[in-house]
Amino acid sequence: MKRKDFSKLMINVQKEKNTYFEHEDFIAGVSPNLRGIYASMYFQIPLKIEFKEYLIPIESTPPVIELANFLSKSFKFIKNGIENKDSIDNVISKLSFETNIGKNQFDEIAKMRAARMVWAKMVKQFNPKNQESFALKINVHIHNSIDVFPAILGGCQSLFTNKKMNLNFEEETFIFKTIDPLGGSTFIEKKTEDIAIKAWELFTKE
Amino acid sequence: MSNILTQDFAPSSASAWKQKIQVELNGADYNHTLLSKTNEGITISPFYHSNNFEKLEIPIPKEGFKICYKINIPIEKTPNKQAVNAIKKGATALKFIANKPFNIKNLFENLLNKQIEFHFQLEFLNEEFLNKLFSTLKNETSYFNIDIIENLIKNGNWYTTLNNDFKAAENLIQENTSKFVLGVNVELYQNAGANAVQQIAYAIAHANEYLNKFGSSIADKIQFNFAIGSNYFFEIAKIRAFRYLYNLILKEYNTQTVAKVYTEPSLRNKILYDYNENLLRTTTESMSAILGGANTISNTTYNSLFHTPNEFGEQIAHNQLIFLKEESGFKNMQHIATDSYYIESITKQMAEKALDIFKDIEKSGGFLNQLKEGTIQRKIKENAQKEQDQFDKGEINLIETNKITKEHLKENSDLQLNNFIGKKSHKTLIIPIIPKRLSEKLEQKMLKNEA
Repeated sequence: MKRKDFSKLMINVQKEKNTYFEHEDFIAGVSPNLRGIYASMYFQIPLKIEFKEYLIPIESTPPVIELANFLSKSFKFIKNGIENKDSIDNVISKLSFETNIGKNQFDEIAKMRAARMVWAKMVKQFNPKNQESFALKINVHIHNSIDVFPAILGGCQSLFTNKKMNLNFEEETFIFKTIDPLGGSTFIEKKTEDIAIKAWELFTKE
Repeated sequence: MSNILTQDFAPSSASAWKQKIQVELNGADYNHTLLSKTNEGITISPFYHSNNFEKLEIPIPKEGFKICYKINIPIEKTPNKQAVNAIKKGATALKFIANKPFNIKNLFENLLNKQIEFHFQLEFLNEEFLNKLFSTLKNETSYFNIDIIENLIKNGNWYTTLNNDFKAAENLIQENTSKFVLGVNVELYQNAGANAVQQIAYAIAHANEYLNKFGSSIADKIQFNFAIGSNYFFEIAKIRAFRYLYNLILKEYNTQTVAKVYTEPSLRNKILYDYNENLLRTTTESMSAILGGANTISNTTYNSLFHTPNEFGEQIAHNQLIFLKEESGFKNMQHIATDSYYIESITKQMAEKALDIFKDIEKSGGFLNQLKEGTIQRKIKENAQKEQDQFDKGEINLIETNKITKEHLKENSDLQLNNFIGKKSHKTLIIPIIPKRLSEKLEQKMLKNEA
């Protein structure tokens, strides 16, 4: 057969997404911090890894329930602090989201993205002065090496783990080269939206 | 509905994000600090945003991946028993590796009509044997991976001659039009040190030699076998960009397909010491393969470099995949990259660059011609050398190899296999392409010191 001529072949680039979610253009470093709490994320503020001899187990609950519980506990804590004449920013600075990685890696990535959004929304009611109060710090307790992956892809601030576990392999996988690498993904954005809305509804129902 | 989330805050543009980053950089140079240039010639931006969105329409398989269990016929005493066991333990595909004809009837006892996919990696071309195999498997989904060009590349010579090899392949295709007779083995390029863009381009150029010879009817009857490395998102993009480009060239043949892709973890980054590191590597590599949309995925054992195959290692490797599929949420995740800013962007860039290489190859007479001239071999060697220099300088890390200690040597001194592939001295038609691991040089030095 005569060889085909491929010299005119061109790729066909599409500039529009097929799916678009209203929350998609929230960025990192600007509340509600969907894509991370710092605009430059791990480039400027590296992931913190703390080794503990023993990790107190956190009960594993489905993401929606976990977030709703976290919001309502935080809400009570903040209200209580204000009633005791503490400043709003000071009360908030004492809070962080301590979480586990559940079985489904993608639910967990979406959970962390959703957590930052609903946190910012909850905190806004108190009108904090300090912008940092809108940024939720997430600490992930790692029980299995592979949990490191969703923890980083979800944009957490620190990992708590025991000494024996190997966490260095993420260096070989180049997953730190860009911020919130799964952002925009139809699957992840949908899941983020679902978890955030359901958690918010559950929280406000109480 | 999503008003709940968006009513309190304003969206931001890509340029607002960049400005905010520059504030956080506190005077450090943006380009120098945040942009990553890869060996593929792709620049990774620190962030991606819908403002600069770009994507290609990627053909994605409807069904999720199948888990494949590998069985090496000459080494295993009871390959049939092992196959039966593998199916019991959840394998939905089996791959048989053989270097000479085997007893077909014994091997497939109790394996047929069970909805199992059969894959083959045969290091010989024997028409009579293959016809028997085809007829035994006439009602089964099977992938025979006959790849006469790979054999040429691996060994430097045709099985017999160019004409005879192509004639034999043609006979097999004509008698088995509904079967996946041909394979394009891209693994070798990865394992020899080609970068992701080169692998895509060579896969297409390699396949185009078959399309050119056998015509468009074979387009959807080729299986493409890829090796998956550790660069998580690039490997996802590699499979997607390949599928796009394959269809792009198929347009010239007036046909379209969702190319069948089989994957295994790369050899290139595996190390002799420290089992656990290899275990984590094969896990993330399998994750990339799944998210990239591979049809069939096989895992390699953590110790396959230095131990003869053993059921224990195979079982762990197999369980890793079952765990990902059934426990970690990786079932039917072949769509995850769709509309993601970052992966769609690198997919597009890879396809663009691979297309340029493919066009160059075709312009100078095609893949076989460039193999004869040694161009492909030279290009792969150049990239492999670049990676080797980066590894030697510590710019590419292979954890635990760069940081190896004497204790590791003692712990793992039970090497059963020779892993350092020597140069072949026989006369060849073309320069063969040889797999090479990044840590080989270092490990050879360590082994010498140990002796």
